[in-house]
Amino acid sequence: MLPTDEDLLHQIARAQASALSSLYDRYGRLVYSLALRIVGNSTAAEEITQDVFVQVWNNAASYQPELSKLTTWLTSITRYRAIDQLRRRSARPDGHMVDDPVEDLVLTAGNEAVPEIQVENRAEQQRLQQALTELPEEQRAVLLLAYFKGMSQPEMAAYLGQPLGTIKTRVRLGLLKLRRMLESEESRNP
Amino acid sequence: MILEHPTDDLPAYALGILEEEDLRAVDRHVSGCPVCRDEVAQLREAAANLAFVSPQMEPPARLKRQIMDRVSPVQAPRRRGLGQWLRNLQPAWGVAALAVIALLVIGNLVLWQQVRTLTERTPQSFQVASLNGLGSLPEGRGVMIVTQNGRFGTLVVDRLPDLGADQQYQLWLILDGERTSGGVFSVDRYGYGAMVIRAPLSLNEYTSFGVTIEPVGGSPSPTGEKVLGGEF
Repeated sequence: MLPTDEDLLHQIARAQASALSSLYDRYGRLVYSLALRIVGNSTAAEEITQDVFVQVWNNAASYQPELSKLTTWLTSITRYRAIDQLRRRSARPDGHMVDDPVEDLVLTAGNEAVPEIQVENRAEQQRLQQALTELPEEQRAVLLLAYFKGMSQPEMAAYLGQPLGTIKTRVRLGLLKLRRMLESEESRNP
Repeated sequence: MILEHPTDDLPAYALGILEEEDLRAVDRHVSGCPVCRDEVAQLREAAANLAFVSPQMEPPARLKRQIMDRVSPVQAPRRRGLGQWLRNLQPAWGVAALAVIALLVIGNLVLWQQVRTLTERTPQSFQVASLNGLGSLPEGRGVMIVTQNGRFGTLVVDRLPDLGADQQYQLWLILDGERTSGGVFSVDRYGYGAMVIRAPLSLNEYTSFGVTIEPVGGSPSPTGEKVLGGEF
């Protein structure tokens, strides 16, 4: 039986490198893909992925599973680092970055490394994609701009040419609705 | 602190996109309001799902190696006692077997003879290398016990002086003249110490070993006196 995420974090907190290796097999792809999606540059995405896992190695003992899922913790660290780097870079991202993140909802599949976990991630993707497609387009757009570009609400207002109040309403309603849909999905498929 | 719950701002707060002034105000409120803290936690969980929208790209194979290199003992020095060391051994059968052997060694009066006996009993399972005292510490003794496949190894030392709070011993794994840290360790007041060896390569790859005295946490390459040396 595969160790749980919590087991792995517990072992990492005891400096067991093999547990970090397993955690990477499980979530390295998620972290790298998110970093790449935000910074749009594979070299920078690799650096961020390294930093994220080293941070996990150094701070595993501080992870509190009762406060958030491990994927939430990992993606938060990744996103924070990636957006920070994005803001510090003056040049436009290149490589895989798509100019309009709203359009970039292509999902790919297929990884043989840890099949059980990857299947779980793929199910997560499908669940989210379904929820996103049910969101009104303008709400989906601001959520993606906020999440992947780290744009503030005034920045989004300027970018989309909409009043600030409208953007704030879309962000609020969009995230609340997304949460409601995911919760309702979870209650149907616990 | 904002007296009313800043409900409208919590989604943007959870997404980390509030402007500085609003951010400070909401931050102050949330830190003192369990209701809003719980709401933010739930919104963050929902927002974190957006990460799965990213097209899943395969990272280059070298990335994992680079990460594992970065968490080697030199980069992440942690001083550990024997209790911590033993707790570290639990999950892996190979390492657990080494722990049993290490405890046998500890429990006997003559470390050197016991290891030799053990080696004779299980010649196919483990390799053993001895390390002898050098320089100012000729009394020092050490033994490395390595699984046949070289994946796991442990070092047990005896008759080395306690270096105090500012210094530690550091094991070096030597291949073609290049020295790679195998970890840092301290000894107790009786001169005994033990450590699980961490290495980027199979331990079978290395041809000789040394122990030097380094600043606490270890050094990227040897800087202090070499006090133990040996080879397979």
